[in-house]
Amino acid sequence: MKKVIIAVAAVLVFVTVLTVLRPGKKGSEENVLPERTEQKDDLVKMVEEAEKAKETVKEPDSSEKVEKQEVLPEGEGDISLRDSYSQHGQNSFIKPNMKVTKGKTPEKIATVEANFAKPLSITFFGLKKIFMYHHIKGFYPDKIANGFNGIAATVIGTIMPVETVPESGEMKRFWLANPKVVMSGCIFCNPPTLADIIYVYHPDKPEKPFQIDREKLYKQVTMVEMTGRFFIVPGSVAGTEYLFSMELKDYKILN
Amino acid sequence: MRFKLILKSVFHYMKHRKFAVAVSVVSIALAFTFLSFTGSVLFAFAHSASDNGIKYPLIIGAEGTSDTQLVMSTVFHLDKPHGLITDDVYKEILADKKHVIDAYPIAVADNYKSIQLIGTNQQFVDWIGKGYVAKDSSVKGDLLSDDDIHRVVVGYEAAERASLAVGDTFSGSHGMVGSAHAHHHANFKYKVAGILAKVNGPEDYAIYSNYKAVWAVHDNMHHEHSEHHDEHAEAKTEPHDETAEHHNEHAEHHAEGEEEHHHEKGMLTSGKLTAIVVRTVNPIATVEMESIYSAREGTTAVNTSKTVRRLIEYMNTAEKAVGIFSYAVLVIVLLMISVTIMMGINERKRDLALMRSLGVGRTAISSMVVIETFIITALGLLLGIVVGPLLLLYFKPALDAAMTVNIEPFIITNIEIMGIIVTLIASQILALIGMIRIYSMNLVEEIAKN
Repeated sequence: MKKVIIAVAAVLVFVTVLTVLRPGKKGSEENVLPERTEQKDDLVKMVEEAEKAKETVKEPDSSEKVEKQEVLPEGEGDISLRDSYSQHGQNSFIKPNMKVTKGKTPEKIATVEANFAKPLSITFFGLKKIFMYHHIKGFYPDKIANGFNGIAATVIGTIMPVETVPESGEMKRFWLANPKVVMSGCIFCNPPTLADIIYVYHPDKPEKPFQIDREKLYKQVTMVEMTGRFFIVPGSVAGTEYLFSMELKDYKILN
Repeated sequence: MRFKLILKSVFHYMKHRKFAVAVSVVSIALAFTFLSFTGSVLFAFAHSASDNGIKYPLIIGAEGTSDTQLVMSTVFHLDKPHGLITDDVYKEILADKKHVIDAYPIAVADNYKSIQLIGTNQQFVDWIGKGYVAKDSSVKGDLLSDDDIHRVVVGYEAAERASLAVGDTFSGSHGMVGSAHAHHHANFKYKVAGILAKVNGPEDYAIYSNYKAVWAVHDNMHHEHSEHHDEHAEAKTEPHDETAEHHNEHAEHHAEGEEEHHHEKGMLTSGKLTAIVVRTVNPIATVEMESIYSAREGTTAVNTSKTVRRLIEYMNTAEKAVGIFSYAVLVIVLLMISVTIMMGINERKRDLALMRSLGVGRTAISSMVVIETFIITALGLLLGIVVGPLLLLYFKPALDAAMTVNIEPFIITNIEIMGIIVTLIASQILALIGMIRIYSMNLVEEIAKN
């Protein structure tokens, strides 16, 4: 009887060990996403504060209005979109293939010093908010335009390679994407926008080069927390175009 | 001192049971080698799929083609293309500077010795290639320029397999695989102008020509077929005896070539393509274009990353199934080893009783099983770790060619690490059961029974 109990106990231990060490468990969505949702959304707060501040400011006179309309992007689609926004506010319908207004705002954007002692926590939800604001109004809120470009920030997202990953696993540039874009079964149902991807690149002399286990990268959705200087000025590298970018300083692989 | 004595005793018994020990070690090594093969092959698949998802972000093909078929035929050269699209779509995509960095035409209909002949342009070869190992120095400018559409660039492995060198000439056969009955395009000779450097991908196993060469070959074939049909129609009016043989030949010819002849469906003639590879400015542009060209009549668009991700998900499931099977094989091997060791202990009860009477403790005696199992398992694993990659290195050329991937024999995958951990833990659990049995055994009484 004693022997049977010992044998059963041994089998149970074996099964438990196998279950604990089971591969792929670490990479599951449930293990990763709660951390993301718990993240404090400083960016959303900033945009909301900026919107509130705008609401309290008195309406500009008609001459100012005309001047501002000239700055906004031209075209029927843009006008109907703008009208829609003014009628329905934040709940207005946004088309998935909306084009970012280029050439109007970069000169107004100030670059700030990065303070890595207190990095700003950014979420893709927050980025979408400023992306939409920019799209509809044609410019960023003042607080974003003057205090956001070049800021030290942390973002959590999934890795999407831009180029073939070398055997060393060291990646010099890649996309940091909204996990929902990668994990959702139907990307047509929830079409991504340029706010769902951040172009991450190494500085010339990186403090901590980004290195990843290739097997993990190829076989599962890899979640990382990136810390670096965040930029909101659109750019292009070897044909690859982006709206948001980050100069990598530090990173933490989460799964 | 006591441990040294036990160890000496263990090695002594192992030496006595050389054959059983050798079989046990080889069994573990083979089981682990199987695991190693599985891990490396699945890693190579995932690697190749992921890399090609980056190289070919968006593929546009004919409406009705499945995502997998389009990716398999265009990227991996493992399937035949389904349907045709017009080159107007290609021109339109090239003009779309908002979404597109570059776009490449793909026209596939022929093979040479079962190696696919891919009609494309120089830009595509520059994009997928890493330079040339051999190049025709007499050619000024692009090798696949419109100046001479007979020139081809051959993938590294394709050149070795078909024994092609710069300056060689050959003609293609219609269809995706070489067949004795396939239509031979003998009138159109290709000339090798360059051999691509190895890129460790499906591109190594293909031959690239100017897409206008594919059009020229099939325009000619279309013309030949029209003439042939006219002749056949005329022959019907002639006396039966003379034309009976010809009728049979004609019927056979059509039956055999049914699949490869796109005669009725539409031949890959001028102005037609089988696919377009599109390099987009970013993943959002890929999604937008996928949406546009999937909704449009006559075309379908495939986001390669999405398709590849789905393929990798299937592979992960397959890997889990194979992993469980492999672990089960390892555990069965370990069970057999435990049984062998226990039988060995039964044989040496007398010796153990003697050791016990000399003052060697129960724990020390029973721990011999654990040590012996550990040594056999560790030796088996070591042999597997060494032999597995070496065998994989030996079979690499054949496996790479069959699967158009690049197997890295010396990579240690997670499934192997798990295999090592599972084997060691399982072996020690089984050894513990044996150890408990010996610990509770009264050796003197056992001998007295005999």
